[in-house]
Amino acid sequence: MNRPVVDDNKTNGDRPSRNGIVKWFTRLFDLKVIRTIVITIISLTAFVVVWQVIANALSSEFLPPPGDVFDAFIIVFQGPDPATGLSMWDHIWASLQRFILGFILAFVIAVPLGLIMGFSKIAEDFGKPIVEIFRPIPPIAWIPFLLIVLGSILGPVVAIFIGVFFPVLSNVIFGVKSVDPILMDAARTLGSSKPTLFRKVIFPSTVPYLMTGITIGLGIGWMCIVAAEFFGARGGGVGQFIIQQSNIGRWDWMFAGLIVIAILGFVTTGFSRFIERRVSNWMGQM
Amino acid sequence: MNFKTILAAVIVAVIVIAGIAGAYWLTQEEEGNVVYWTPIAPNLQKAAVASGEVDGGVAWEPYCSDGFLDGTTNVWKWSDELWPGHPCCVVAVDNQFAVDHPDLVKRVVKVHVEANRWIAEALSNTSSANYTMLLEMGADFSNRNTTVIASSLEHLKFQYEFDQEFMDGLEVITEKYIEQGLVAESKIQERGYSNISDFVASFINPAWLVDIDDVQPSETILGQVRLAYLTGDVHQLARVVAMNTTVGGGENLFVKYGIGIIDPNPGGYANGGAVMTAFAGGQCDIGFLGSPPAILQHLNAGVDISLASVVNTEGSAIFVNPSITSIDDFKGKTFATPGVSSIQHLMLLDYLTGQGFEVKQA
Repeated sequence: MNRPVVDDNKTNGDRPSRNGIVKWFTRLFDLKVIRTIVITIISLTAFVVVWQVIANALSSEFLPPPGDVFDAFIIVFQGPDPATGLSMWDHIWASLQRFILGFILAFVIAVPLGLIMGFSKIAEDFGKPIVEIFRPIPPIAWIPFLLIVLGSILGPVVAIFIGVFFPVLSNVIFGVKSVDPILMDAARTLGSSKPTLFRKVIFPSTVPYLMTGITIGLGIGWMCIVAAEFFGARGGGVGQFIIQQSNIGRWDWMFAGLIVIAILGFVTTGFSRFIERRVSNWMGQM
Repeated sequence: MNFKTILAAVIVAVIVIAGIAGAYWLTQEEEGNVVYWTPIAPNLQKAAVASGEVDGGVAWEPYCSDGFLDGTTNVWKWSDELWPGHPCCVVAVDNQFAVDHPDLVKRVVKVHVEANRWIAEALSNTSSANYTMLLEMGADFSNRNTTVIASSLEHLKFQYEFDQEFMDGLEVITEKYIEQGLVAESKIQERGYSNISDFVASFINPAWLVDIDDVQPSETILGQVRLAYLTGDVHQLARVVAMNTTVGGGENLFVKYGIGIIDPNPGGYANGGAVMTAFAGGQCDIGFLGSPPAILQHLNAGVDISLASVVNTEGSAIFVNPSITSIDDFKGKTFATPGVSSIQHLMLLDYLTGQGFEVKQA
């Protein structure tokens, strides 16, 4: 059944906030949303129960029960851990800085490069062999080399760069190639210059593909940062925290580190999907 | 230019500025009477000093000798100056494996003793063919040249017996870990020990070395042992010697004593923590590793092992970039360590705090 949806843009502009609240409540009590929430809760509860059962069955210190990990999760945020002398906030901040920097580098380079390679056959023929050589190499495989050449500050950043770069590049190229030729012809017929064609037709059409590339890249980026920090990372990092705790046998703390990574990954990819939806809506309105 | 174009330009500008600011933050360090440490694998530390990534490091041999012989680093303190006779590597045995295969454990210990005796003889005559062969074995294993190995051997002591000094050293290490909060004091009782001395006395098992000379070679292979070791660590040269077929007279010493060796991680493990994780995961039966990670993971995680023999004492060093010439130069500098669970890390921390520095992770 279709529920009546209040559109902020089309109703009385004097009371947008009230309309927003109505819309939110309407959505909240949508049966589909309630069903999704209930299923999510059941799923997470089942996960925790299975974890507890396996931990009890194994009775091993290497798989601490959820309660112990929850306690460790709280403790690691309260002060420095003895192994690294840093709190979890410090580790998260250190990882985030590397992550953001690597991501920005990848974004700034991959997007224009992808647009050019998608648009120009010569650029594609020139760049494709190089891209195809490097793309299959897992970013993690570069880490020992990067740490020696670039050190433990820029090394992990470049590992993330590599992880994010290729999904973004590939998606942007694919996006450019997927632009409807009728649109292109129509724009040309109407006298669009190449820069205008690029700005008004190609780039907007590519944005949804770019966002997909970013979402994929973000997931890979977290894998890279954790792996890079295993090898060494100045200023700490969640990966560094995890490996140090496993080295000294604090498995409950190590699991707390894993949960932090899961949350960070979930938040960043969730944020990316949110932006992706917003951009899609925006593009639809153009 | 429409609004969306301006907005896009602003977003790109913000992203670029955020990137530059991030890079700036990442490279900043606090001022003060602080020395920093950062974990870097020993084999990468020399390169890290050369590139200016760190200002010094602490590692085991041959990485200390390697750096100072080619002029990349200066040795600031050899570990025998910091802590004479300090405990280092040991042979650890999975306790269940020891219960199931006591004969194999005894035989591995016998091989270790034989290898140590061969090394002692080779070292007693530096012009002998065996000494040259020892250097070559070390060079092949660690991927360093024989000059580096010769220097390394001057700074470490091979030994297989537990003496009082070694046991006292293990007690000191345990006390320091409790002091630093790396091990909760309650863990001692939780693991069934009444105090630290009781723990050390129970953790080592010198019984394997008793009547070791009675163990005879075997014509047949009596069983397989999964043997773990550290990558390129010259401290563990006895294992390399034992694997050499020339030393064993046509077959390696393990085979000579009826043991088939399985390498659970060809090339070795990066550090003792990784060897302990291999024990915990049931991937190895016997392992060569540093005593500190063995203590840490036994107490913290209950990894069920005991120590069957000593491998070496000493053999590490704090080294610095040659531009560092006085202890005052240490201020604000960053040192690489193999990781929190290593004896090298513990010695660096002890030395620096003893010199009045606050020590922080970089």
